[in-house]
Amino acid sequence: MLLEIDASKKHKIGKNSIVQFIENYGLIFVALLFFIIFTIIKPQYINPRNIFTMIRQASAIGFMALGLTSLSIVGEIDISFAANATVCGVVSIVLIQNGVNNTYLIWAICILLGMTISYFNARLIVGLGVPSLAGSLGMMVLLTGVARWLTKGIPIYTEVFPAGFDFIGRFKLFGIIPFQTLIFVVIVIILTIFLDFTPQGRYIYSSGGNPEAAYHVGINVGKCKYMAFLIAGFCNGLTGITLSSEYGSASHTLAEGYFFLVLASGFLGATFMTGGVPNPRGTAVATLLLAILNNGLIIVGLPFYVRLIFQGFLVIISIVLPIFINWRKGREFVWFIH
Amino acid sequence: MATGTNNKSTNKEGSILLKLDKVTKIFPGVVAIDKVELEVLEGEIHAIVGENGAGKSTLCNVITGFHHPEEGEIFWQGKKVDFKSPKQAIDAGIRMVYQERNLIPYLTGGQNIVLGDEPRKGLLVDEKKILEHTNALKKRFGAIVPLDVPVMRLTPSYNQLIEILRALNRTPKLLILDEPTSSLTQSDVKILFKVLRNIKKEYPRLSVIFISHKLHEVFDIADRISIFRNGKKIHTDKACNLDRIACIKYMINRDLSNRYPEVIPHFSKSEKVLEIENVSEKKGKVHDVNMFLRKGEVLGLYGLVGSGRTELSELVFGLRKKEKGKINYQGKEVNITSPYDAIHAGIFLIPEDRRRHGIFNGFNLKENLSIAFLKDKLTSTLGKIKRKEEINFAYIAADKSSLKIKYTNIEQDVSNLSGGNKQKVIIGRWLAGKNATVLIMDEPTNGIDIGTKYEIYELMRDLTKQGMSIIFISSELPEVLGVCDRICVFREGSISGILQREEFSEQKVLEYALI
Repeated sequence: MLLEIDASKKHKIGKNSIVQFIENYGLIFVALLFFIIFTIIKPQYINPRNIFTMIRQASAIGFMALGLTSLSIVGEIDISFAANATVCGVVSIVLIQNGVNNTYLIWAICILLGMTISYFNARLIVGLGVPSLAGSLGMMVLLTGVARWLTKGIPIYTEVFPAGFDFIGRFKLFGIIPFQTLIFVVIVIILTIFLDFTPQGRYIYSSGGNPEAAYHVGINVGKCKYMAFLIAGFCNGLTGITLSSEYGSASHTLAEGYFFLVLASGFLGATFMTGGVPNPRGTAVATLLLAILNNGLIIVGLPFYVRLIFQGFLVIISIVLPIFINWRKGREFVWFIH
Repeated sequence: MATGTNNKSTNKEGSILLKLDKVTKIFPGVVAIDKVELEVLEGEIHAIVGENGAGKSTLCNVITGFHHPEEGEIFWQGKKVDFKSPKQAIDAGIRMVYQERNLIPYLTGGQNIVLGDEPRKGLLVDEKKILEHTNALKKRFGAIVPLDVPVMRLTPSYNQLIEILRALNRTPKLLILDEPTSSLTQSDVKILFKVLRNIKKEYPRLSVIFISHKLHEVFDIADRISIFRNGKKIHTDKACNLDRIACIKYMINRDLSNRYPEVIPHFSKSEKVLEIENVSEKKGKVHDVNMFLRKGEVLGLYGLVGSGRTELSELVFGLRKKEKGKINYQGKEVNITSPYDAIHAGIFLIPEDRRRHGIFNGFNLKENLSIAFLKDKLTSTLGKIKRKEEINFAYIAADKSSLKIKYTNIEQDVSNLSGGNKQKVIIGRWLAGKNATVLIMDEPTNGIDIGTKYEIYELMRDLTKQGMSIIFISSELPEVLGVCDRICVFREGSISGILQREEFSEQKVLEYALI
């Protein structure tokens, strides 16, 4: 027993704390590193317009990644997030085409739609007990079909938008800061406060960390999982209306291009600050990193297939790294894969 | 069958099968085993005893090639060896049966036994041959266990036997059993030992290393005993030259003449805090249970594994549905349908499987201690967790009298705590809330060293002094007799007998449990 005490004391002093610091905050440094590398390779990279384009893209990725993160905290996954967002974006345009003029109404409908779709996923996965990967896979195919049906396979757009519709997508604070980014920051803050500082948030973490122990302590694990799904649904709906607002149109592939980046970012965030546990702040930093990478690779002029390969590589790393960190901490399992 | 003290026909006296010479294994910050010198003779059953943390598991991991020692040499059959992997140890003839089951749940006993070495018919597995071969194997050792049923449908005792048969499948020279009886009841243990003695008869040259906490069993089966403490081997001697008291002395380096604290009755003669009338579970293990719990008493539930004690406690705690019957709590009928309800009423459960049902490995010590009362006591009106209060709460839980959780930093990782300390965390989490009226403890001392066990017994008696009532489920008869005010004996899903402390006798309890 005394030996245990000595062991943990040793980890506190000297070299180890620097290693700890790098392990915890490394993600930011990696992001900065790539930023610098790309700037050196192509100085156009640091053009403010480019930077804010990149940040705008990051927001769309970020919303969905936050949804994915919430779900991975409770040990579930929903890979239909992009299809979900696409359907919501498409519906927003369809509503305008059919004469709905009130922007707020459109936003409300689309976000509620996102949450409803996720609620169905929750019924399937939490209620019926279908394994989350299988269930959400089926849902993804279904939703993609719905999107195709609604758009009849071609991008849909309208000539005239209701007042304020392009606000989310195009408004820039002080002329440069994209509005989506502001919303993203606000949501990260809200989620962080909720998950890390409220009891219900702690319960959500417990439901993922050890659902049986959580149940034994009186926590309603099902409720926590439903909450996570609804958060994800909200995020997906938000992504949909952001993208349709940005482009002024919607196709059945609206959010599809972001699929792998979101996947990577949702998992990579677990390497930031918490040593292997998914968390919203980490996801924000991971999103930034991935946007820097993605954008950088385009600017540098690499062909699209290189980017695709790179994205695949990133997804693998983003899963392996948290596993590795958990393993180093001597944990018996990886947070979201059990 | 006499005790394992006769060395007559079974070993070539003095023939050393395995020798460890000043073997040391160091992990970061921890010296797990320290210059250990150990000899295992051919044909002997050599028991290794010691508290948790004494180094027994590390010792086995080094012998089986899982870990590589920093210092020292290992000699196998007289020659120096250096196993670079477990496979090399297996090839050399060393097989180990671990404390936790390593069987494939949906395969049959027979398939599990030959796993990795299946008899073939051309390219396919020969199932008929598997059955023939494994049935012959089990007949040789007199092990009565069904081998054609998926093992997940079998009891822990059968699973244990199947794993031992699996280890014996390729005629090893050394068999290591790590706490083989920790999840078995006394009658299962008797069966296991019978099989072990048969094995010894069939394989006179097989050596067995038997690791255990349970001294009475060790003396029942072992030829020689080695005692470990804090990573060092303290003493080795023939079992006939030792007794339990001497072993305990070596194990803990202090005289523990009293294994159990003094039982001062604190229970109320009249006030019943829990009354269970005719309770049955639908198609379940439990049926027609009638019992009550007095305020301030420690009520023991004893019985064979599967006799319904855990199931009854889960019924009370809301983890299972009751189909018939009434439960009265503090005089009023209650309908508890979930742990949440039970907790709110003041009924707490410390589950049997602390790893799966108790500890949150992703949370630190403070968070593990505060989780149960987070919403009720530690949240501000705005909905945020009060940080300072949480830390205070955690300190109270960790340092509360008789608990003494060993930690350095209240926010340290829990995965490094010993089993005993983890158990204390689960207990402490409930006690700090001060809401407990009824505390149900299911096998709380399972796999825990003697020193910590005593602390838990002390805690239980202490709590009754404060008016708490405790249901204590255990399969260790001595501790049930030593700590409880009353015992309910379970058999096949209902109560077969109730004994007051004045009537306690090992004989009577076993009769109720088995006959």
